[in-house]
Amino acid sequence: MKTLISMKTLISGNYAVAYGAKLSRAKVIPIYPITPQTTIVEKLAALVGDGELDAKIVHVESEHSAMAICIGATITGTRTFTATSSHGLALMHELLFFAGFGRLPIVMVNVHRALAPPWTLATDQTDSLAQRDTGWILLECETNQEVLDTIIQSYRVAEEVMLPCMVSMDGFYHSHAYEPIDIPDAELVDSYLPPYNPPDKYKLGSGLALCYCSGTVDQSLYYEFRYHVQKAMERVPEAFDKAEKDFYKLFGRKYCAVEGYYMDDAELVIAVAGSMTSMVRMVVEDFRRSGKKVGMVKVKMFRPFPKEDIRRFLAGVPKVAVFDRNISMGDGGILAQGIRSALYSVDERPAVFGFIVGLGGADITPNIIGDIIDYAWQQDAPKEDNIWTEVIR
Amino acid sequence: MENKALFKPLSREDLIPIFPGDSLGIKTGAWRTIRPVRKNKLSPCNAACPAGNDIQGYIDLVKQGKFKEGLELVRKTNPLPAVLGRVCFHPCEKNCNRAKFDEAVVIHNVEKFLGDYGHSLPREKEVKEKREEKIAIIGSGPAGLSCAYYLARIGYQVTIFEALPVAGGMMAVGIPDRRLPKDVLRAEIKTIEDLGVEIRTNTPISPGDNLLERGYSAVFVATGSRKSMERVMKKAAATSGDTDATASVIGWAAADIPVADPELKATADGKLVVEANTLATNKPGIFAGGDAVTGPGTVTAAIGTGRKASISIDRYIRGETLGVTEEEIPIASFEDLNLAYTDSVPKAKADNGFRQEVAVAEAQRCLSCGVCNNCGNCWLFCPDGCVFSKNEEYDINYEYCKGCGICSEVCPAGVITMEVERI
Repeated sequence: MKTLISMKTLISGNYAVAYGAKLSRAKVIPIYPITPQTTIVEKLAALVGDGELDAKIVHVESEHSAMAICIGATITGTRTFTATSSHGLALMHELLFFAGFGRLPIVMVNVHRALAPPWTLATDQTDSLAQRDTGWILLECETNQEVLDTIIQSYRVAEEVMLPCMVSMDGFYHSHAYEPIDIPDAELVDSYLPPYNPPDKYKLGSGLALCYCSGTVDQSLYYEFRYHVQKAMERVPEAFDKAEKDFYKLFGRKYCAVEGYYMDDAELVIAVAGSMTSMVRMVVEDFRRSGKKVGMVKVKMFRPFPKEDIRRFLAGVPKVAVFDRNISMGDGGILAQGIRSALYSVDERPAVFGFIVGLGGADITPNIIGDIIDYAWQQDAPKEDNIWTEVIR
Repeated sequence: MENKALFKPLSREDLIPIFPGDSLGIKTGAWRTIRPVRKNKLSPCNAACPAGNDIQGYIDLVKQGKFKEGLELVRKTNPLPAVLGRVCFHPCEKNCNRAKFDEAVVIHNVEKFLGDYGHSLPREKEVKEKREEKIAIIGSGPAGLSCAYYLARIGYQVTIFEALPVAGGMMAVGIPDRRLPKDVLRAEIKTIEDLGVEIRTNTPISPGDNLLERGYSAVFVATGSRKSMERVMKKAAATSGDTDATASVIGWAAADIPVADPELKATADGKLVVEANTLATNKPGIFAGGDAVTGPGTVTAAIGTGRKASISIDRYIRGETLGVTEEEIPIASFEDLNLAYTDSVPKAKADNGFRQEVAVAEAQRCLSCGVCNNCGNCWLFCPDGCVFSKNEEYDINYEYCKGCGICSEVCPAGVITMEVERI
């Protein structure tokens, strides 16, 4: 067995994505550039150009076409990869359903960027969370190492349950930030992730026509197909758990659909996702040092929503403060929505405070996090469903 | 009571709604309420040509560098392209749609190029079948030569009787050398003689000659107009000694325009009366055309009547019904075109030689109004892949065409029109 110790490489989050796709041996990469994802495209092109990556990069005129090609190539049994962001993802919307409901194990990275208007290049999670009903597995990442690792794991999960998987990372906080990254050994990755073995009917040269379609069906059959998408979604947590365990054995890293941090005897728990998680970790540690029993859950998986894990961690906790760097207009923070929903069936329900934070990349400083914790600590119950925070200029 | 509608077991097997196979079973053509119809229109140049030339057609061939084929197409309706390229008043260019975009295509230069190109080739004598019947043509002007050419091409024995000492009629004596060099005219006439046409100069025909009784199956009277000749003589007198050609006309002044047979119906001012569609006179077997019928006209119109007469004479001899019925084809208007794919290009400079590359460049300016030139836009833009190419022609698959109309919209030449579907 190869050694777990290796030299780390200082690369940006976007380069980590490119290495993730390379190590996963994606064969077809239709991709269209958009800030802040562009250097992913550039790095992938360079890897192919340098002969380091044996893949076909397809230059497309839009993200809609990029996803269409992912769909076509995946149907024929090819492993595909693409990456986009924000408006590019929004343009894919129609085809995201086709990939999700069509049960095609495409893996895509979405670099979070807030949607216009007004225009901004900075991050928030609304772009991918707005796609949460399209039949895609949605995963959030805290670090660039996690981004790279999650891409590789995603193929395992996606190809097992036959659902596409979207790995999201924060624009600039991840994409353009440099981190020492452990780029896994290619042979080890190969042993972890064998070549895509599609269902027999999709195999080329199986004697079937080289043409695939999705016919029109009657209502009962349509209904049944939707049932199977939901059932596949329900198999994701187990498949993900297994993929993580196998990954841990080879690479020594593990993330979990929901990770608990200082959860023992916690009286107030912060629920958070994405790049701001690291900052919250630090503040939680500060509070613990000062004697306040604060904990944290990091939610990595948004679809399927890991209700069991949420219940396991949060049932019986007095208060939960949810950090949503996103908003479903007319309702509120999407993570808070899921947590409240998951906890409804629990006897000892915590008071759930929904904080809207950091939209459009607004900074979330330790002071803001501390103020939020102090605020929630003092209140018995939230006075409103969505609590807006100060924005640092 | 047990509620049977709930918790019905669904299939245990995971179902994926994408299957190997195609969706050709769904005939989307049934959804259509309007259909694209590919039908060539008449290019305005062709519509305006008195000789009935397929101008768009030969320009398209020149565009492709197919000069031989282009020449052959011109000669289908015009045996004297080198002449017409020089002397025609080109109504084609006046009606050219391109004039509304930048400048009209300089059609006459392309035609002149083809005519001259023809004379640079080795002579071809390509009469496939010989016929026994002899035809007499009186007058070797453009009408007579044209009629002779087309009859000879289908095998008739043609003799032209010319009163003057030179062949060519007005082209020889009425058009100055600077507009129509004599060697060009001689070369054109030689082409016609090469087909076996005999031209007897200095041979005036009088009514008493009775050609029909002397073994000729039909006669075409193309003696020209007395007025035209008078005009030439006047002009020649005024500019006496100006050129060899006009000077010689003075010498021919004595040679009168042959007096038409008094039995032939004529107007008060001496124009022969013919049936417009067939060019038949009141005497069976005798046809007439050119200036003899219309009075002073153009070379181009005369060439057109010569060809028309050849068709009538052939039908007369074969015992078929006379008369040519022509299909009414709508003319492609400027508004029918989609010029989004056309760049503004100035017309080629007309130099004397009008070299091959200049002719091709000018031909490339042709918009091919109303005529499919296989540009492939319909094929390229059809979102349903319903336009296909077969035998180098595009066609529409109506089984699947939904009638969106994109092909019609993107057709640069206005060939595809949308018609209401009849159910």
